[in-house]
Amino acid sequence: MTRKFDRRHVLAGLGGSLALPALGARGWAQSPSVKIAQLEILSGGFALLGESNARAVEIGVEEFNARPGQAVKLEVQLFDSKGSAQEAQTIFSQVADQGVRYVTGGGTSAVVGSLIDAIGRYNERNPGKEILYLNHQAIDPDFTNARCSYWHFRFDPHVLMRMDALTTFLAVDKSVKQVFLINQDYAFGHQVQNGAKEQLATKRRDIKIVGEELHPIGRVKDFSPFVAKIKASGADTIITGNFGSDLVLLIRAANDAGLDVKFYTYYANALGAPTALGEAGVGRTRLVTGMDLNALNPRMQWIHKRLREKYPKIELFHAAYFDMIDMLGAAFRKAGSTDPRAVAKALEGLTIEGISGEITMRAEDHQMLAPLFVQTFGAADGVAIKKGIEGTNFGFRTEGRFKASETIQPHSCVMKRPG
Amino acid sequence: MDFIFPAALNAISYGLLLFMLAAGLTLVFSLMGVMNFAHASLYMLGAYFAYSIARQAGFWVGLVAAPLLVAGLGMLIERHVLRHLHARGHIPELLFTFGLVLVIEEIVKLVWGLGAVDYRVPPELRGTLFEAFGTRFPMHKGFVILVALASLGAIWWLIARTRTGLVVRAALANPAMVESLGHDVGRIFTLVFGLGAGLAGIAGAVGGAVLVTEPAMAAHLGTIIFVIVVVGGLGSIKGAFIASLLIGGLESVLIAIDVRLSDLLMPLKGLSSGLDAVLALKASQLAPILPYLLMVAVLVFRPRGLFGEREV
Repeated sequence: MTRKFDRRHVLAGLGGSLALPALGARGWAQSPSVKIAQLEILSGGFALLGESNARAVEIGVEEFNARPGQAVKLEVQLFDSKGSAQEAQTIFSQVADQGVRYVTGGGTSAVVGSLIDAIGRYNERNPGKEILYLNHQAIDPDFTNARCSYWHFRFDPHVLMRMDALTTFLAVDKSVKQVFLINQDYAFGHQVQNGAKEQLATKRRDIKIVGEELHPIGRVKDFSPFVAKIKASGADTIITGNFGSDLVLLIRAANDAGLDVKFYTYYANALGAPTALGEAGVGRTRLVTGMDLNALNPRMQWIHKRLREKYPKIELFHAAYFDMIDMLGAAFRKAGSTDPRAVAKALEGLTIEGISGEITMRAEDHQMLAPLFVQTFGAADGVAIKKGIEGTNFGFRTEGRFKASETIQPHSCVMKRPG
Repeated sequence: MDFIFPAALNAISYGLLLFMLAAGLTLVFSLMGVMNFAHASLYMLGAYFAYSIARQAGFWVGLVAAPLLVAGLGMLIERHVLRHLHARGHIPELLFTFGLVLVIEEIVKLVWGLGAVDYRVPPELRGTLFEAFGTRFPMHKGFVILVALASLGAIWWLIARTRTGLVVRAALANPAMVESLGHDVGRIFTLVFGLGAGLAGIAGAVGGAVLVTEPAMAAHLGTIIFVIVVVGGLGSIKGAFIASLLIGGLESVLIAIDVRLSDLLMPLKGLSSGLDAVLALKASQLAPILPYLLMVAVLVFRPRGLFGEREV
């Protein structure tokens, strides 16, 4: 074994599995800190995603609590949802019994959807003890449309907002003629596929969709059969929402087979994808993201530095949790309370300065409007791409900026509000 | 047609990798009489050992040393744990190997972390072996085929063509007789277990580099090789070979063809809305469940598997 036993990691692992606190019910009421239960996938194929989320929130909360004059402190309790709705429900009942009033994370949209439903039911039966769900990563548009809930707030631009930014960019690229859609076979992947088809049909009628594939999430270990199919389809561009190993292995198989296409992605900046892309991805891999690593504000610079020092294996790739923490703090101040009922009311329509521009929580559907960036993979030059990511020499150069007001998508949410 | 050919090559490469695992598993089954649930965990250890060694001494050293380490570990497990449990029947053995799966997975997570490690084939294997129908066939896939054929050939020669192999086969069939003839059957069992573990180690050292090295790799392949061994027939190497290629091929071919269930079952269309959702599925979406359907079908219609000698 080449590496020394990492004690911190072991402790963290234990903490994850033994996170049940010894506090009695409603212990939080006397304590000055607000408890947030964070559920992440900390085991299995998407464990790195869960760990990255957990570490980023940990540092974000550390920064929040350390601000001078911070009256309300946050305290995060971390749980392993194992990517299963069943497991998430069990954890939710436990934390609800302990009087935790804020829940975030969960994993995939399937898990988050079940959490939102469970919280809705719980709040109906337990007036005065309402729980808020703070969504930092599940971007299935349904959560702020057909399935919207008053107790759910999403701090991350959803699939169609991101697809709009991505296709606006794609539409200008005249070399794109034939597009292949490959996505994970569950709610999120379906939304990416349908969103791409609808938006391309209005923005560039001449583009042909030459293939659509939905593959099981996290189970394909060799994408070469898919790559052979993409090659045979004559596609010049791929649009994919894949993340984690599903993206890494797709890229690897594409590079192995010499597939010469452009990649339009949601998550190519994270979890092994930059490493897999390497030289072969330069100039032909695009990304839509909520954060520009090359132009971080002082707060984010501190968080970035701290995260990289404390957890060198974890990269900063996602922005929503930091806006979520800040907005929660602003809502506490505005409401003069940390009670979820008052905070929910305060969050509606709240506008603050986010990590990369003005952000607003839309009152009608609880979807946050935040800036988006379209970026292209390239070699780090210290200016446009400040630093390589994941220990490589490569990073993402920002080519398109969208203000929060430019990302607005219509919604169909009819919300049942508490009386 | 132009993507059937690369798909077939992919299938052979993947199928042979599966066979390296299934061969060891079925060999050990002949020996112990129970399924070694931890076989895929040994595969995972092979990959992680090879990764760690490769970082210090290079890929090729890892490729040789990791399987030896895994084989050694396998022999220790057989000699010091399984042998004692064997006397108490199959259930304790089964439970032990099942526990081993969980222990190895947790150890791997603690030592190497939760995510995938960057274990790749060396630059000299990253090129293209040949180009056919516009698609490159990567060299590392050819390398998998080569390693699989070489190691399986060696095992076959050892078991079928040498005096040691003769004694091993005799010991598997009738241990009491071989013992009374003066051979150390205990040592033979340890050797066979080590051999199976070593094969899993080689498969891990190669498969980890070609596919992905992560804590979930054992769970993923574990179920598939279980299916292969059951479909092929417990204890049958020939059955494992056919089933490996069958299941390796199934996935690749199903992805390659663009058929919906509704195209095959036209008359059923419109029967009920629930059925329509099933019929709209594409063949490629069925690929992941097909191995398990195959296993269930085999268990129902031919419980001893394609080439098995005993009932499950």
